[in-house]
Amino acid sequence: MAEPSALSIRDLAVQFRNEQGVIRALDGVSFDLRAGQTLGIVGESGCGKSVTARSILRLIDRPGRITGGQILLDPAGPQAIDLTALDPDSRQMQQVRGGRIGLIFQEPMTALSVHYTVGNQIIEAIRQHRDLSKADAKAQAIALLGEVGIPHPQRRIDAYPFELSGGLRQRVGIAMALAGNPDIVIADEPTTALDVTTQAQILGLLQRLQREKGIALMLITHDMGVIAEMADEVAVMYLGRIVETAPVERLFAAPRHPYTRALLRAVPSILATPRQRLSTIGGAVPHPGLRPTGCSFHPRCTEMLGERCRREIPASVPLGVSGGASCFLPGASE
Amino acid sequence: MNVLEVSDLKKHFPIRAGLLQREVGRVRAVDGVSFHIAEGETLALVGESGCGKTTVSRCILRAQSVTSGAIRFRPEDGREVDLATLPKRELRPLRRHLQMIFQDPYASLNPRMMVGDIIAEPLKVNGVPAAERQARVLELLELVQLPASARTRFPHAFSGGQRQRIGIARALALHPRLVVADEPVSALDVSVQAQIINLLLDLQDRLSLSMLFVAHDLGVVRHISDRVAVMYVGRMVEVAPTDALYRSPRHPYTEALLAAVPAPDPARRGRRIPVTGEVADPARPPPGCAFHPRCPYAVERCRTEQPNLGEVEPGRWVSCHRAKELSLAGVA
Ligand SMILES: Nc1ncnc2c1ncn2[C@@H]1O[C@H](COP(=O)(O)OP(=O)(O)OP(=O)(O)O)[C@@H](O)[C@H]1O
Ligand SMILES: Nc1ncnc2c1ncn2[C@@H]1O[C@H](COP(=O)(O)OP(=O)(O)O)[C@@H](O)[C@H]1O
Ligand code: SF4
Ligand SMILES: [Mg+2]
Ligand SMILES: [Mg+2]
Repeated sequence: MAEPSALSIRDLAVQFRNEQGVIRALDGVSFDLRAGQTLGIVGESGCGKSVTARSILRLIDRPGRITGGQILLDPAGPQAIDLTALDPDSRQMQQVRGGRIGLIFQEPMTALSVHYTVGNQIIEAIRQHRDLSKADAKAQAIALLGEVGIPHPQRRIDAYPFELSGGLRQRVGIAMALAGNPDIVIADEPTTALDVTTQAQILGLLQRLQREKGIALMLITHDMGVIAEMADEVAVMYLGRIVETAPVERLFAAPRHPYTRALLRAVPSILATPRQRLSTIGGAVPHPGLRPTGCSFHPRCTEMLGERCRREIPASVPLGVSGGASCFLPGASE
Repeated sequence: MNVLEVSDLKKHFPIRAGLLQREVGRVRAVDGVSFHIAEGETLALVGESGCGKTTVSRCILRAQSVTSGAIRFRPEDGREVDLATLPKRELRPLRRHLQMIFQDPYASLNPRMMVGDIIAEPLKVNGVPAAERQARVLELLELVQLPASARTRFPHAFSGGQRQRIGIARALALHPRLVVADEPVSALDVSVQAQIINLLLDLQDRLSLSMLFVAHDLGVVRHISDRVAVMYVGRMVEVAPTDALYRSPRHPYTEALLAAVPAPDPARRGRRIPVTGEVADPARPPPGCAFHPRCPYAVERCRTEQPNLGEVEPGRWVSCHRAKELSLAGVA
């Protein structure tokens, strides 16, 4: 049984306009984030992962603009809200940001100020979304710091962010994201800047918090290992589009898009034999201002079918738990 | 034949405070490290951030002074110098034998120079005549699989992976005896990273390159290195041939690092128990074994007595009181 969708993205398009022209950073992105589940979003640099995250929270600034599509919060319920229809500065959007949807950044200092103590910032975040006295909010903040595994929270609450290690700072970043008690959390490369050991701790923490609070987690990463460890479902992005979605086991056992296959083969492995070469994907991700015609992966694709791939754009991946790939190869899309 | 032999290397940074900037303590960034690199060999240096990897490589390049210890380097057959004590003046002519590949392919190339000139720069500095330089640049571009036309273009016209190739070509221009690469692929995307790893493997074969490869990605390290040295808080905890280290680590810290790597296989999910705690502060390393506060195998002795690096079997060096009795988990 599939969980109901907590957040549905439909045909989302985001463009950046500058002197050189128009960059279609997102070009028709659709997916569902299911309640209480983890959706992993994976793809190489520049494919649109962060723009997707920032669009959902309406944090895209000029010269960027949402040019089409919908971002539906509680799509199945009687009070579905299309976030693209809200003013980014409106009271309602501010309530959604942090209150319904928490955001965890790669570099926790993005969310934290250097001028205030950790405690002040979390208390502030709590009071923005909940009507609590200062004292109650402080008690909450201490409890929250304990929950995210910060030792001696009563003491650490008075620390400034720069006094903390990278791992502790990311724990504070997670506490900040949870301060408004959101039911959806978007984590944009939350462990990319950390050591593997700290990464393992933080991923474990996210798993525990998600289970305890029933959070729908959208986890952005470029690390297939992190995907394998964390995700229930996966969306693979390439050049502003989703090229494949799948339940995690199927993605690794039987990837359907040639890009997914190539990406999986290119990952260095701690199980490699000595001096083992990797299979590579020719070339590099093109600049999104220079999007190839037809299937945008065709110039790098080893399984290309010819003219059709050069000219026609394959249909978007089907929605629904079983997923599929946006590709003309037989069997790719069902 | 060893290209490099490092013995008991120490690099301490003074901590100064007060009006008189008196020394009130020391960051023991590197605190007695020994290893060697044989000709044609790639040694990887791994460990969590802050363990001292970059400081070791900067000492070898003499990008900073050395507190104590020896760094014996053989620039040519039959000649040996101690980089730790060599005066700056005598260091200059050695630079050509000791080259560096940087982490950030964006910051390490001069944006106002054409690629051909960037690669030719070390040749020019070392007095290679213009005609020869031209030919060598073409040869190098071919070596790193860039088109000859790259010569007349500027760095901004190239992607991160292509820039890393340019940096590699520059490093190899003078046939260095030793290449020091500090995280050379960690800023790259997977697909580009795979291309550069393969390129480095090709170069190892073709040029019998000797390399110190500093990295934190244990996957990358397994592909590239012949041996691995694991550092923790300024000291070596294990040095071993790559395959042996991954299959059967002998130090609890190595085991912890390997266990932390997420396997790209959902069927193996949830099997890992991550090591707790964080890297100790090298300004106040714990007494005894610096790893003991995080070590699941620590016994009383570990809290008081510092273990030394000892050879537990031929070619395998471990610094742990319990190295002989523990049986630790590797990764096949
Ligand atoms: N402010 C901006 N102005 C112009 N283009 C932008 C801006 N922000 C993002 N883009 C473009 O949008 C595309 C998607 O960028 P995005 O940051 O979402 O990538 P990403 O998948 O998060 O990559 P990474 O893995 O590097 O974080 C890129 O081509 C990027 O250059
Ligand atoms: N110039 C410096 N002054 C003071 N401390 C330093 C300096 N350079 C490095 N350190 C300290 O030395 C330790 C080792 O750092 P580094 O060699 O960069 O580690 P790694 O490369 O393994 O991440 C760290 O605690 C770091 O803060
Ligand atoms: S010496 Fe003791 S504390 Fe250190 S690694 Fe060995 S068992 Fe663990
Ligand atoms: Mg991003
Ligand atoms: Mg470093």
